[in-house]
This record gives sequence, structure tokens and C-alpha cells, in this order.
Amino acid sequence: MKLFWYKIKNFFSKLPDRFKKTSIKAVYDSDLMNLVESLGIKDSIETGSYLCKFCATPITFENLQAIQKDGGELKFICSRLECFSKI
Amino acid sequence: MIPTFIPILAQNTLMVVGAIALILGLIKLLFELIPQLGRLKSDFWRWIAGKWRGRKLIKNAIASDIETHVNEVVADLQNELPAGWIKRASIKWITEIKDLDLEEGEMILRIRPLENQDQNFLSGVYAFFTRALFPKTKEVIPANARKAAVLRIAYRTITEKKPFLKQSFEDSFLETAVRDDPSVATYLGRYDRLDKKGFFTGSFLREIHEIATRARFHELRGRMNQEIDEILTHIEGFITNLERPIGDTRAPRATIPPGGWYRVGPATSYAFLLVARPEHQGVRPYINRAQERSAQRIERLYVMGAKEQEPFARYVISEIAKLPNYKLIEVFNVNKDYRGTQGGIGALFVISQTARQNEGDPEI
Repeated sequence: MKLFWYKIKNFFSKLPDRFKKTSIKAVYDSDLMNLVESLGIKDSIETGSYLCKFCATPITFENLQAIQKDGGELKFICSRLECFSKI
Repeated sequence: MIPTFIPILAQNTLMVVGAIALILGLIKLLFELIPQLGRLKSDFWRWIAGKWRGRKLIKNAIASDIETHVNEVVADLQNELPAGWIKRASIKWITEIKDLDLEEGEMILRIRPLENQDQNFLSGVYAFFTRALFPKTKEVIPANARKAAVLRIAYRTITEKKPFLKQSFEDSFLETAVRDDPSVATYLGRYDRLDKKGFFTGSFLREIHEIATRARFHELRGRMNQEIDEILTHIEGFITNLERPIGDTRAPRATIPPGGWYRVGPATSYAFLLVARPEHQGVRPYINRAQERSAQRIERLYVMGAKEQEPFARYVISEIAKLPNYKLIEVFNVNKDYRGTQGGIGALFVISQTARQNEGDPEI
């Protein structure tokens, strides 16, 4: 009987979880330029001033795979899977 | 003068709009509650995007496809991993953002056109599990152990749900992680062994999450690697004994030494109770063993039920839940039961506050 009530309680307590979401922030390829402009880093990317957080390759519009906030700063991850899988 | 048909038309239009909104709302609710329906949604967006190739349509198609595939997996894991860890995935498209709007550790993932959808999916799954596993204890759990856990869950998920991407995941994410830090390979092997008997998600992840929660502001935080290693060693030893035949028997009671059933660590203590064989004296022996553990002041009791006797295992769980000494925290599914059969059930009990007070609970 206790398990029955546990199940009922569990069902209702977990119900809100069904609507909660883990959101993955994403930028579509063609919106990338817009995004970096809004972050004010377009020029720095064009001049190759940013380096990949893991392999230190200069970040370009072609190889930029992810932007992450780390230690209060923006860090960049290049499109090599070796680097992305280190996140 | 207003013609008489206008109020009637306005009233009818409102009714039609209301009905359409209600139907759309219900469809949305159904999609939210039944992840399997998401495939219909994602096929619809793919079809539309294929027809018109509008940028917004393509974005919808990509997001819907990744969400659907991740959520199909998530639906199963919600009942397996600790409560609250796994929520449904949602792709939030960002077109512009201010530096300050990003939280510490948060990431914006670049998604490429539909032709790269397999790669998008792999990246999405990996990003999802990295974010979802060990909420609030990520920083406490050593990176190599945590990463191996994310890889293990992601790998199992991809192998089961998208077998054609298994090789690609192995060649990219697994290979890189192992090359980068060989200790990840050791953890992967050990996790695999636990996972084949249901102890990886069933007890191991729950246990280290609990320890990490308690060790957050404690000197134990510096010894998390050692603690994880000791828990792994204990569970591996338990499995070895479980698999070891003695004479013509493989009955756990015959093969596992009394001290092998539990572990008392610096932060937590836990014990296992394996449930099967309903023909042997019913529920009483299990209740007695649960009471023994309580008398030993074992704080956390994992009841692991064999798939074959799941109804009986549920009965045992409900009977233990009646004991005043233990409080039922969670009933969960396991990927495999302790015999290695697909499926099974587990439950976590913790010693109740009353039992603690009666015996004087030491804090870490």
C-alpha cells in the first residue's frame, strides 16, 4: 500500500519534470556572424586573435564550433572533434 | 446600421480561433508528454524544409530532429538515473547575445546545415549529457571520472538507439578522450563492467553524487578520486563474488562473504539487498536483512530486483517501505539486472531520521 502511495506521489512530483527542459543553446551556421557581432568579437575573429581553448589553433568563422563562458571570459572551441570532446 | 450577420460572423470566428488554439495546445501537450510523437513533428519539419528550403524551416527541422532523438533516449533514462537529473532536451536558437547573458560554464554550440545532421546529433547528445549529469556536483567530481561517466551513458545510448553512429562516436569522442587522458579508458572499462549488472546507474552514480554533495565543503573533496576508486573496487568485488559459482550453486548468499554486502566509507555507508527466488520463504528473509543493515547503521540500502521476479521485488520494496527504520527515496529502473538480464528494478532507502536520532547520527 505504501508503495502504491509512493507511486502516486512520485507520479505527481515528477510531473513538472516532464515539462522542464535542459536547453542547449545553439547558433545556426548562417546566424553565426550576427552572434559574434552582438558579442563584439567579430573583428578579433577576423584577425585570428582568439585561439582554441584546447589546441590553440587560431579561431576563424570556418572552424568555430562552440563558444563557452569559462572563468568569466569567453573561450572558443574549434571544430576538431578532438577539441569538442574535451568540453 | 450594422448588418445582423456581422456579430454572428464575429462570434463564430472567435469560436473557430478558440477551437484551433485549443486543438493546437492539446497537440503540443501530447508532444511534450509522449516523446515518441516527436518523430512525427521532426518528420513534418524535415518534409516542409525539403519542400521550401527556407532558413527558418531548416532550423526548425534540425532542432526538432536533434530534440526528438535526444528525447527518445531521455525518456528511458529518466527512470534510470537519479530523480531530477534528466529533463527533456530543447534546442534554443541564439541569434544575438550579450556576454553577460551567458552563465559560467554555459556554451553556445554551432549547428551546421542538415547535411551534417549526424555530427550535429553526436555533438548535441554529448553536450546534453555533459550538462545533465551530476547537476551541482560537477566541480567536485574529478574530471576524468565524470567525463568517463558522460561517455559511458552517451555511448550506451548511441549504441542502442543509433547503432549506425556507434563507430563514429568511438572514433571521435571515445578515441579522443582516451588519447587525451588514459585514465578515462580505465574508468570506461570499470563502468562497463558495473553497467552490465545494473550497478553503474543503479548504485554507483547515485553514491558518488551523494558523496560529492556532502564533500563539497569538506576535506574529503580532495580525496574524491580515492573514494570513487574504493567504491568501484567494492562493487567490482561484489560482482566477482556474484559470478563465482561455489559447488553447484551461484546463490549470492553462498558466494558473497558477509562483509561484501556493504561498504562503510568516510561520507556514506551503503549495502546491497538482492531480490529474487520468491519460492524461498517469501518476503521475511529480505525484511530481516534490511533490519540487520539498519541495526548496523548502514545509511543507504540499495534493493536490486531480478528482472524475472520483478513483481516480487516490487512487493519486497513495498514491505521494506513499511519499516520505520528506512525511508524510501527512489524506485528506479536498471538497464540490466544483477544477473545481466535486460531490465530490472531497484530502490534506494535511506535510514530514517527517527532511526538516526535513536542511535546518534555522526555527521561527516
